[in-house]
Amino acid sequence: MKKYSLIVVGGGPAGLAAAVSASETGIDRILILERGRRLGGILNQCIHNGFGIHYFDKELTGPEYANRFIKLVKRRGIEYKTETTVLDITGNKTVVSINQEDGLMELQTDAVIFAMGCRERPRGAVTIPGTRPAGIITAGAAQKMININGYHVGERIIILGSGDIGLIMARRLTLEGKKVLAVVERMPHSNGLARNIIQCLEDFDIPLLLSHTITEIRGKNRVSSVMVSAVDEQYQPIKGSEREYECDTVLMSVGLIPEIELGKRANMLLDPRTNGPLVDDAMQTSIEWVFACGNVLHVHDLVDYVTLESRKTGKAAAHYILQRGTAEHYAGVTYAAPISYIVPQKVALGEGQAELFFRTDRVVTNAEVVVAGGQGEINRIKAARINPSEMQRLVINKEKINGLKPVLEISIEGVS
Amino acid sequence: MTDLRKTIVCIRCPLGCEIVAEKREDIYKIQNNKCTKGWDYAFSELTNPVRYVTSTIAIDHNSAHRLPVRTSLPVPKDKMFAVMSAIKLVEVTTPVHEGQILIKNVAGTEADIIASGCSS
Repeated sequence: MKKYSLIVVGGGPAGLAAAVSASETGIDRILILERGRRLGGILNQCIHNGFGIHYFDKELTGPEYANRFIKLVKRRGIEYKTETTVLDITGNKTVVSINQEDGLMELQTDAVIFAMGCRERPRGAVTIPGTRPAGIITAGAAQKMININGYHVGERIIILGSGDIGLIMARRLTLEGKKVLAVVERMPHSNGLARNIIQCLEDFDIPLLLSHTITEIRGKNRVSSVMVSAVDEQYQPIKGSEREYECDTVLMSVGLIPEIELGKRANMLLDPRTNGPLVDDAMQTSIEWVFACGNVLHVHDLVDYVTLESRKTGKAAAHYILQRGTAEHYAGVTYAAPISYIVPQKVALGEGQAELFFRTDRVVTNAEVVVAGGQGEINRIKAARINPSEMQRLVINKEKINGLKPVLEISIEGVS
Repeated sequence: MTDLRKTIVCIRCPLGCEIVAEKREDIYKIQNNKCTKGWDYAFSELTNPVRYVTSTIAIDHNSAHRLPVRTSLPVPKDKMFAVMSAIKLVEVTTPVHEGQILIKNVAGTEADIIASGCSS
């Protein structure tokens, strides 16, 4: 049986950055296992620019961003296998995977990093009445068909959901000469970044219908039209507000879910809010030798933040492999609405700083983020505006968490 | 030059200031911005809004084998479709390396079309 120090599952931005960082920390015998034909993951199909503004201080396209890390992986001599699917991780630190060349492989390792990314919520996840014709696809699938395979997906398109991929596709299809009729969003606010609303919709006069939804899809073999209605505050369609849009294609951009099947099979503890693994601030999961980073942990809005998180994870996994000691005492992280989730879910007590990421379920203005640790307030940060589409970052000095009552309470005060 | 007045939502930070930008007889007036970044953004959006254009082109006469490409510089917003038309007319043969110039001075914009990926 072949023996590795670290096996990284997934060769997208998270896996690449984690592997490079572990290598820099002194780990050799690292193996990246990637399901796709090449390294780079979803970045390969994200041909638009805007990646790397924070990490490289430069606007790169997805493939350019990926190539920077692929080059580092190759330069450091990190081993990788593409078109390889991981089937299982087992209790005796074994990774079971399969590909055409090697067949079924059982690989022994000291640690694993989960970097499998996420997948799109399909039509079935958001009940829409109507027929089931061809022409209903997720925005990311359309992106792959157009940018990687060179197909056209349709001529007249309606986009359901204002997630960033949907917005990016609205622009891409318009530039390809297709007609994007509208982006329909059930919430009263967009789920996409402001930059994308402006550069992908407003630049091309594509209407963004907030507080609207598709109430019916019509068509026999191919989509022929959709009915769009306004919704009330309970997201219920308002009678009499229906309008029919003739179209041949519906793109769905209604959210992403961490692809954590491997964790589920291994009985890993998951957070029902993120749908990803429960981790501490070293990104260690409930299975001691398995770490997680990137979109399999929680869905990020910028790849730059995936890179930073994954670098930290790679380093933490390296320290685990080098047996530099694991934490024994933790503070659980608690929170309440309007915070919708916080990662990590627990923080190891000790020295140094912990980085926390959270999102809100609504737009928050002129509020304060309050951090309390057991017996008192640790920190209070003014927040002029928090958008649900933008992940928030908190840095906490761990020494301030009181060990007698090890809990970290995050709340938002002054929510209007 | 004609007078202009626009409300511009700033995208330089999450605040999203609604900046009012005006031009009247060569005098620019920019209001409601909370910082200088907002001023710069509103000024460029009012006077010469520019965007990168990204697309793909066929490799080796195979329309199902795509190379990602982009403009080397942001181009004027009203030239985006002209740039797209020019991109649709070209193909490349392997090997192609990242950064390779495929069209010089595309649609008279001073930007080049360059490969943003490699052919492998």
